[in-house]
Amino acid sequence: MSPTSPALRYAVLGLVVLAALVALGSWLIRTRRVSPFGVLGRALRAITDPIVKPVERRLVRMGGNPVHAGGWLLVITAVAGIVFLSLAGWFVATFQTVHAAASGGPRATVALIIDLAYRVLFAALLVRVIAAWFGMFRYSRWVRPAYILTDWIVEPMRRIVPLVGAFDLSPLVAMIVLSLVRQILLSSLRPG
Amino acid sequence: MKLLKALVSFIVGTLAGALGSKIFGPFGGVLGFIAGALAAWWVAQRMAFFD
Repeated sequence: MSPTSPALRYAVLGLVVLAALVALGSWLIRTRRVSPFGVLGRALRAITDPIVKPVERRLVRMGGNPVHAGGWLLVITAVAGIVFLSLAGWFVATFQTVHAAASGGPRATVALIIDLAYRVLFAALLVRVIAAWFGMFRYSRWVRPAYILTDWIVEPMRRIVPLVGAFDLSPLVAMIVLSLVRQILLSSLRPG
Repeated sequence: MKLLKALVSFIVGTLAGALGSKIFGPFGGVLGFIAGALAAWWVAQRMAFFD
């Protein structure tokens, strides 16, 4: 079951549909399919301009076509909605996990800390690998935290694991080792 | 402007897929996604939405 409530998902869907309608209205005016000076045109402009203008300004500054502002508004709304729902789901799931751990005693709390540490390190390793594909390494401002978090495990691995052609497998091996360590620690915490 | 057209088609396809899966199950979801995305692409092409 999804941790986010259906009301939240329908609210995001409503916003996306609204953005699509605003985009359509703006497109009708900008392509002169509806006269901007008629009653309908003026009403459409009054509704859509305050929403579309900020997107249009940014788009023009980036060298885009202002007629496409409505389309980008729709895309931005959909992406922002998905990110918002994911974050909300993550917060709810984390809260439920922490609540369950807190009511499960010290063993459950330690298991949760181990699991959270594993997740953070795994995510940092993933960021490190994916950023390397885009030519972003340890001196990039955005990727540096991932290197700081994972250097202590990846650097010793690199000395042991040989390069396979141009591929550095040490982050992958680090992921496997981390997963094994997590399994061992969690099974040692289980009672009996 | 193929990127914008593809993104908008993807969004419309996703919405149609969600609707399809609600009505007809997982198979309807896949069919809805394909039909929605193709329809959105065709309409955008026909109406010159992003040209």
